[in-house]
Amino acid sequence: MLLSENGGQEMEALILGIGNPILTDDGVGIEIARRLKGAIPGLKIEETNEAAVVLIDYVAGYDKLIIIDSIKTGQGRPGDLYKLSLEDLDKAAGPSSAHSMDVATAFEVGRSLGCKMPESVSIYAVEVRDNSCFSEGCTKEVAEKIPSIVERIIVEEKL
Amino acid sequence: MKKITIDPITRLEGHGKIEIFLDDQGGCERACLQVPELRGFESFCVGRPAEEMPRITTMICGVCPTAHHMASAKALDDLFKVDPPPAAKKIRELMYNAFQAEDHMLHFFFLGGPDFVVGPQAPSGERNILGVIARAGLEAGGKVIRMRKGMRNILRIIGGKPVMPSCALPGGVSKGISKDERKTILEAGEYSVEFCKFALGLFDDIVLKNKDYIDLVSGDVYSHRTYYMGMVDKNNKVNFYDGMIRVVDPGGKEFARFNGRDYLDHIAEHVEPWTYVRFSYLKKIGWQGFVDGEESGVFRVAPLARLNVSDGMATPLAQKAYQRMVSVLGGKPVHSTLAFHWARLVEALYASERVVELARDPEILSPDIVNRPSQTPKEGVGVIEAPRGTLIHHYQTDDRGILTRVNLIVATQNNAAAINMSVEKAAKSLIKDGKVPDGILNMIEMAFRAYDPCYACATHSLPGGMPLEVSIYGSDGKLKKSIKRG
Repeated sequence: MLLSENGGQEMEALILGIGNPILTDDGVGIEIARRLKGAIPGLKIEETNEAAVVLIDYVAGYDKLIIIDSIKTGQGRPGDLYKLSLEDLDKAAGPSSAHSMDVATAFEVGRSLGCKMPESVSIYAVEVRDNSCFSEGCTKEVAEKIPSIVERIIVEEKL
Repeated sequence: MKKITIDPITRLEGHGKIEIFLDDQGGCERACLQVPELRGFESFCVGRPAEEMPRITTMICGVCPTAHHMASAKALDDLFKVDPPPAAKKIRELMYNAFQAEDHMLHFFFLGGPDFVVGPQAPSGERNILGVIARAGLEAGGKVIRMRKGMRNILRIIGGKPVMPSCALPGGVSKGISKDERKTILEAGEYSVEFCKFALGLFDDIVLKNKDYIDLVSGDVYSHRTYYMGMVDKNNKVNFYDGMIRVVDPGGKEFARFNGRDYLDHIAEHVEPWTYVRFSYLKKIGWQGFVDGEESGVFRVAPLARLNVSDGMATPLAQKAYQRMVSVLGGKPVHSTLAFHWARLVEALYASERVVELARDPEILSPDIVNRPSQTPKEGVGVIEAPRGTLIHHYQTDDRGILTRVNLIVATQNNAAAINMSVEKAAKSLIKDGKVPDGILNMIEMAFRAYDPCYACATHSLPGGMPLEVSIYGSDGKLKKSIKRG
């Protein structure tokens, strides 16, 4: 999918939904990615429940990356949406942890290996209530917010 | 009593924490590994058609979805009493070996390898893949990426996608392999063979030529005399996809050899009040606590265990690597926990050679890839050797094939008792006078990292992990000191 951005310059873009679709709210990133695809069929979407450096396999070669994942800060309300940058995650977690490798270190590793990593990265994280019970679909609080989150991402990212 | 908490564990796939309790003299009195629980999997499955399980179980875990997919497929074969055609078995085995090679290399280079390649005492900020690249060279990093990309492409060709595959059916697979696809698979397999040879060479140069590492591997701190369990073929060679389960005692003598369907006659589970993990043990020996030796039912699984229970590898290059490892480490069974890393490389080479063998097999192109089930289902068991050890799926259904009971025994559960023992032994050996510097903490973590443990780790919420945090509590229970790293 080529996205028009910055005065019409064409960018190869990927939307990556991360999470586990059978672990209640953990799957919210995947659900949002699917709805974005439903709203704009031409979008390039990938889904994964993998972590760590595997992300390089998905994102290398794209110019623009939009990640949608869940987050559990415990400080917001379920369904709250945060927009993060790679730098935000860098501050939150150092490179010696497996899961901190998810995004920030995956980029560092990818670049150090000479992979073409996306220049433009947007990370959307949805505050979750339950990510430890096996169940299809999100909790009511999170599910109710999904349509407005989809709309907001479309506007923010000019999809 | 002082309390030290390491939470979460660095480079462990999933979340967990090690708790170390110090005695009044500052030595380690007790240590244990705790993991959070993901709830309700069985109730999630009950009431669904059994044939949904290969799809559902891939979502339990983002680390070993292909292992769950295959164990589930084999359980359905058994449930519906249908034997897949030879080509279907070969396609499944090919895909599974591609997964095994890729997963083993991910662990060696990104998770476990930094302990060796960078060094156990190196600053924590350097003990990661970037540190490995700094030592082994940029070229090595590029090779890792290329090898894994090739293997994951095989998973995509056969399974539909590299994670959460959807190809296995009761009695076979949903899609065959075309000539063009075989060419791609063969190229990836051949590259992977060369890459595994390179990785073993790297292990030789960086680890085996370093006396300090050899002392660490062969020393008592990381050693346990346990039973071992793994799957073997009819020649007692390692097999990941199919065969009999073999158990050897701490002296290397065969203790049991059984069909996976009979696992309940051999494996029982022990429960402790401080953790959700159930500890597998050998039923015929019994649970004697977290101790090793012939009198204890504790056994180990995963790469080193598989090499210990087997008489070798079924492919030529891996067989040579196997013989060298056993010879250098003084014969079987090898009890050193850190030798899991070496065994992992030997297995990755075997898996890569097996991909090439199967891709060259003319039958792999056969369109005869599924036999339709015709019998009324009731009960089925499927066993596979996951990267992290023996994995068992057990389903019971009504006569419509609707699930009434689901039991999974996952690989890390089989290693759970030994992992706790290894953590405690390392902590007791290394912590003196209450001094717990960063390097020593990492050496304790090395004890469990060797097993490549994975605890239902499909939760991926951001930020995913916090920096390593060590909290030291005084005997009054109050926090005295907090150390953060990462």
